[in-house]
Amino acid sequence: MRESPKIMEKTKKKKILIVDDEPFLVRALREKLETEGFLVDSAADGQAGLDVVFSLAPDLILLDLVMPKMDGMAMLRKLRQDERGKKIPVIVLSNLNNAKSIDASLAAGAQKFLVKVNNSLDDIVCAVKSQLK
Amino acid sequence: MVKTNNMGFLDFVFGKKKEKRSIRLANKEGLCGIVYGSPIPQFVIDKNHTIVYWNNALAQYSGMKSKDMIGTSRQWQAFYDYERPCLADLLVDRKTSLIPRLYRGKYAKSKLVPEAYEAVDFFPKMNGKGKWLYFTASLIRDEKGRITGAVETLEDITERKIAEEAIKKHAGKLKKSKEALLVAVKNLDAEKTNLGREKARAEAILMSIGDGLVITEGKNGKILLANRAFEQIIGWSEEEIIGRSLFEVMPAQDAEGNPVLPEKRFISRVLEGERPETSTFYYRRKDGSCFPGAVTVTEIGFEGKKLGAVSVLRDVTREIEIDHAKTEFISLASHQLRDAPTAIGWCVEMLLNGTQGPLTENQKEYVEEIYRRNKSAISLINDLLNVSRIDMGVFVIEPEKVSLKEICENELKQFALQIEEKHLRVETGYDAGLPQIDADPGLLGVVFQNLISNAIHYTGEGGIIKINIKLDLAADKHKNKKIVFSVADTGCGIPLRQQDKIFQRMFRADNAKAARSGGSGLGLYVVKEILDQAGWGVRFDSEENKGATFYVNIPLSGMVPREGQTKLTRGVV
Repeated sequence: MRESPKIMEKTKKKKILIVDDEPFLVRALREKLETEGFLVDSAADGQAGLDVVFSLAPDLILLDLVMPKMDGMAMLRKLRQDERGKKIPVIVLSNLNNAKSIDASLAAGAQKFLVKVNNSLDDIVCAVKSQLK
Repeated sequence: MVKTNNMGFLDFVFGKKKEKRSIRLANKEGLCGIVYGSPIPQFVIDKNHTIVYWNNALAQYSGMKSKDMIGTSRQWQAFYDYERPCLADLLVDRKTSLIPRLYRGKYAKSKLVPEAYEAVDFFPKMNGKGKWLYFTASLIRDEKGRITGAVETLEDITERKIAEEAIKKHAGKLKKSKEALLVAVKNLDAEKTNLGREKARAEAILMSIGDGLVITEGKNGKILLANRAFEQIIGWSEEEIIGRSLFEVMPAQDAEGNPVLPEKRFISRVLEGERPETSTFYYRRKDGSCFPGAVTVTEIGFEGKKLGAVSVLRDVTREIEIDHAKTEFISLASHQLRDAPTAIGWCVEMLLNGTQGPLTENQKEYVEEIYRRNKSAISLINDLLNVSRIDMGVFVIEPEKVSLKEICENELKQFALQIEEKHLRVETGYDAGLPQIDADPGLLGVVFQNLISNAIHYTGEGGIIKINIKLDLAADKHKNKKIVFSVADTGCGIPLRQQDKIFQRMFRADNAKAARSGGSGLGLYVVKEILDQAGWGVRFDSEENKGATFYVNIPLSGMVPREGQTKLTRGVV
């Protein structure tokens, strides 16, 4: 074990990737998650999200669905096709909540589907923690 | 005066001329024997109507002996009740003009003997039962042609007449039957024409119905008739498909593209006695393309036997497109509508959780009010979306094994803050050994949430809310046992005069409006719709100012799964 305690401490932190195109939502989420002791990175669309996944190797992804360039569903499918992304838990966090979106997300390999408006930041932290247990 | 013995009769007939006597004598004896022995009844009168001859046969017939009759003019007594001339009498007097009157319709001039008449009549007096007689009278003239008398011969034709009457009667009957038959045939023709007309009308109606209509026979779905709309929908002409199996002509697949086996087709299921709900399959046209079709099948039975089916087919491409557009619109609109409240909610949460530095009491109160109002807005948006989904028709029901207690407790947890703020006392009572129920947890969540939320909102500070889930072992009329979920509050209650409207959309009782400004009047409507469509029931007892108790009847059989376009969602508290 040659790593410094600081790095070790840092690596113990779970890395969360937020993929969402709304800066203020991302900001609130990021601050909340960081307060809860997570390392947080973010991307504003699916394509950028995939890039971060391959460089950061997050422990969990919070994924919005409706985004420019590449939407959440497309990113999720690509993610699951890639060796590096196959096993990363994904919580879909969207204000879409029709049966089709929910079913499609879960079928494409998402672990959970949360409707943003119905969940407080606290609820989301709970969901993240229980997913990482 | 004519001699009254029998020999005298022959003298009378053959005359007494001496020169001819020898010849006549020889004839006379022979003739005498013949006439007397004749089986044919006859009598002879002279021109003064005196009987000169009355033979044995007639004596037997009439019961009047010749010795009593000869020399008298009582010939009528053999035939009639009253004195009247016989046919012979009329001839002797040359009163043939009277014949038509006395023998109306029964006489005729003889075709064989000049001046002779014949007649047929019934003589009721004769021989007890009456006799039909055919009688002939002809004149007797001397050599100079003078009338000397008349002879009347009778023939009993009773037997023949009876036979004739029988034949006539029979013929009459036959005629009647024939007429009846003709009438029947005529009626039948008319009926046939009517039927033809009816058939033509029915066919015209069937053929011109806007929906596709196909009539099939038996389990193979052999096509007997297809209307124009059907031809247009599937692209085959009727001639091409008559006699073929509908299943082969128009293969079906489900929404995922899996073929639907003949035994799963509606026709087969209806003929098996099932009552399948009309749902949509995709059917193949002649050109290979597919279309979504809604089919309604009705069996055709005769004397308890299922012969075939009438299927009405509608191409629902357009409806599905519209449905998709609506669903799409609702989900996009809901997405946009939720954007702002999401951001407001999360930002306010960040302010309130202290990570951004402390707020003054005043600031905190304002921010908390923003938080509450935002939640009301979210709740309204969710209710509106649920209502629009309910209005669109079909929402999904996805039952799974659930614990009612667990769902109830989860919902209750969401209200912990409000319960605390209002100092409400919540008493829960769950029966031990509540079975798990097949129910859609999302829908059940919406129902419980709305009922609990109402109880909390409309109960004043320090009030009591009792939530119970009890097994009701008293079977209902269908012998089904059930579980009853109930929420009782000590709130403002529902005024009696408005109780019938309480489940109507957007309805809010007057006292509820006064008690709480934020309500949408949609919660109970959504609850009722969900429970109605799940086949459960909801009812309530309430008295104004004393509170209300809502009951949900939960059958142990749970909910039946149902496919649909949309999902209803639990809102936030």
